[in-house]
Amino acid sequence: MALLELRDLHVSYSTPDAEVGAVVGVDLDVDTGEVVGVVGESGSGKTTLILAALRLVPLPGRIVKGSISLGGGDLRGLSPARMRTLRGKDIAYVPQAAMNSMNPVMTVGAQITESLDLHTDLNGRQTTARVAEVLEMVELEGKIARRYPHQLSGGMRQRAIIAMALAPNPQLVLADEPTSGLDVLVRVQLLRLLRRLVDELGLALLMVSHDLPLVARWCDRAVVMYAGRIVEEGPAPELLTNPLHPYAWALARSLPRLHGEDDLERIPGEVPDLSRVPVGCPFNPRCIHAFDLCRERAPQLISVGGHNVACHLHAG
Amino acid sequence: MPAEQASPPGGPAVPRLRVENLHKTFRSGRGGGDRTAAVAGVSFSIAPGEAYGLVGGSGAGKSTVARLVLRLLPATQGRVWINGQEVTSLSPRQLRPIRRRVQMVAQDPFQALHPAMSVRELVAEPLVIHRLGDGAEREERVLRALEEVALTPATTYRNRLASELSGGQRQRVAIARAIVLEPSLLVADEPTSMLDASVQMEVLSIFRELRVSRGLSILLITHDLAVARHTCQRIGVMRTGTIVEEGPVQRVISQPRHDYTRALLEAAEA
Repeated sequence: MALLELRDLHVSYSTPDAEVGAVVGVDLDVDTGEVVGVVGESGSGKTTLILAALRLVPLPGRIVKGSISLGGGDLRGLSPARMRTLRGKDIAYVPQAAMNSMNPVMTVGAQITESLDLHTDLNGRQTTARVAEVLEMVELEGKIARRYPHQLSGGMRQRAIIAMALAPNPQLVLADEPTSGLDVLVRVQLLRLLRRLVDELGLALLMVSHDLPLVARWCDRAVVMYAGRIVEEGPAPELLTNPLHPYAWALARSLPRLHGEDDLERIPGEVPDLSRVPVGCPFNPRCIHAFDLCRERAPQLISVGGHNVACHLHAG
Repeated sequence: MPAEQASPPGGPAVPRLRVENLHKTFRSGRGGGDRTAAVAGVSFSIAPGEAYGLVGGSGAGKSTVARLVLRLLPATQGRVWINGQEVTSLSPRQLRPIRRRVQMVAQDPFQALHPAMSVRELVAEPLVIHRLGDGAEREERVLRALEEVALTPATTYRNRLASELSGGQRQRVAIARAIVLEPSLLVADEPTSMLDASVQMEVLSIFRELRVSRGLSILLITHDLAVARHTCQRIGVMRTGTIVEEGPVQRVISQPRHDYTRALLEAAEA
C-alpha cells in the first residue's frame, strides 16, 4: 500500500452553464522515497489534483467522487478540523510561486517558527534548534533566519519555502511547479536539493510541472494528464524516450532540442476547454492516428509494456 | 526594397541592427547612490534575414538590451543603428518613422492585448497609430497578417475578442500586430515562455517562416538554448550585462568556449 493513494478521483467545478470535470477518474499512488511527477499543460487538471489531495479545491469546485488515503487512513471522511491539523504537519504543500508569497515583514526564521508553533510541541529552545537544522538541510546559512524575504534571491527564497514546508517533518510533500520563475542554473540546484531530501529523509514527493523534460529527468514515475484525465503513466525517463500515448509522443517530439535533428513535430490545435471536452478520447481532434472509435468512446487506462496508457491504438 | 536597406554594390548588406558598446546603469537607493550596471558594454549586429539570440539566465541584462534597442529606455552610453541610421540621439518625432520598422513581441500575451478588443481592432491599431492606409486597405492588411500567423481562415478570427482566445492564439495575434507594419526587425522577448508546450512549436515556426519568406530580422531574447538553436543562426550568451560568448548557434552549443555557456548547457541537460 502506497503512502498516498487516490482512487477514481473526480473533481468538478460548477458553472452556470455546466459541470466542468477538472479531474476525471484519476488513480495515483505516491510512496515513501519516491518522486512522482504530474505533467500537463494549462487546464489539464494538475493543480486541481494536488488541491484535491489536500481537500482544498476552491469553490465552485468540489470532489464529487473517489477516495483519498494517506498511510491507509481515509482523508475524505475527516472533519474539517482534523484535516486542518493534517495539512502542514503530515502533508506539506508548496504552492506555485510560493517564493513570492512569503510574508514580507517577517524574517525567514519567524516564518519557519510559525509553522513549528502550529504543528509541533517543541519548546522555544527546541524550535530555535529546529529552525537552524532545517535551514542547514536546504543548504542555507543559519544567519538567513534573521533575513527578510526581500533580502534574498529567488533561489534562496524557494529554499526557505522548502525549509518551512519540511520543518514539521511531513511524510508527503505536494509541490506545484516548484522551480518555475527560477533562473536555469538555480533550477538545477533546487532539483538536486529536492532529490537529495527525498532520498535522505524518505519523503514522498508529488510534483506538478508543465515541463516534460524536467519531470523525465528528476522524477521516478510520472503521469501525463490531458483534459483532466491521466492518459499515460510510466517510469519518468521513458516519457521522453518511449512515450506510448500519441499526445505524450507528439509532445516529446515537439520540444526544441540542443542536439540531433531539428525537424520538430507540430501538434495541431489547442488544449481543449474543459467545458467542451471532445466526445470519446479528449485528444482525438488533435491526434494524427484518430479513428472512428476514438471519436465515440473514451479509452480506459490499460497496462502496456510497463506503462499504463489510455489509447485505443494500444487496446487489443 | 526601401533604399535604406539596399546593399552597396559588392559590399556587405547594411545590418538591420547594430549595437555598439551599449551601457545601461540603473540608480537606486537613497539619492540614487546605488548603481547597478544592467548592461555593461554590449556590441552585436543583425544582418537582413538573420535571427540573433541573446541567451542567458535571469538578471543577465537581456531584456534591458531589448528595451534599449527599442529606445523604451535611454542608454547610459553607446550607440544603436537601425537600417544604418543612428537612432540613439533622435528626438521622439524623428524616431517615429523608425519605430514602424522595429516592432516588438512581448513575453506575456495575456497582458499585451486588451481583453475587450477584437482581433481586427488589435491588429489594425498600429496602422491607425501610424496613419497608414484607408479602411479597405487596413482590412486587407489585417487579414494578410492573420494568415501569416496561421490564424486561418482569418475571417473567422477577426471578430473574436482577445479574452476569448487561448494563450497560443493570443501570442499569434501579438505577432500579427507586430508584422502588420511590415517591419524589418522584430524584437521578441521570451515569446514562448508563457505558452503551453504543445503550442510553443507553432509560434516558433511562425518566426522561422517570417524570416525566410519576408527576410525579417529577429532579435530573440531567451533563457532556453534549445529554443535559440531552433530559431537563430547566431547567438550571444549574456551574463551580468556583457556578452561572454558569441558565434553561430551550432558552434556555441557543440563547442562552447566560455565556462558560463558550458554551465548553461549542463543545466539544460542536467
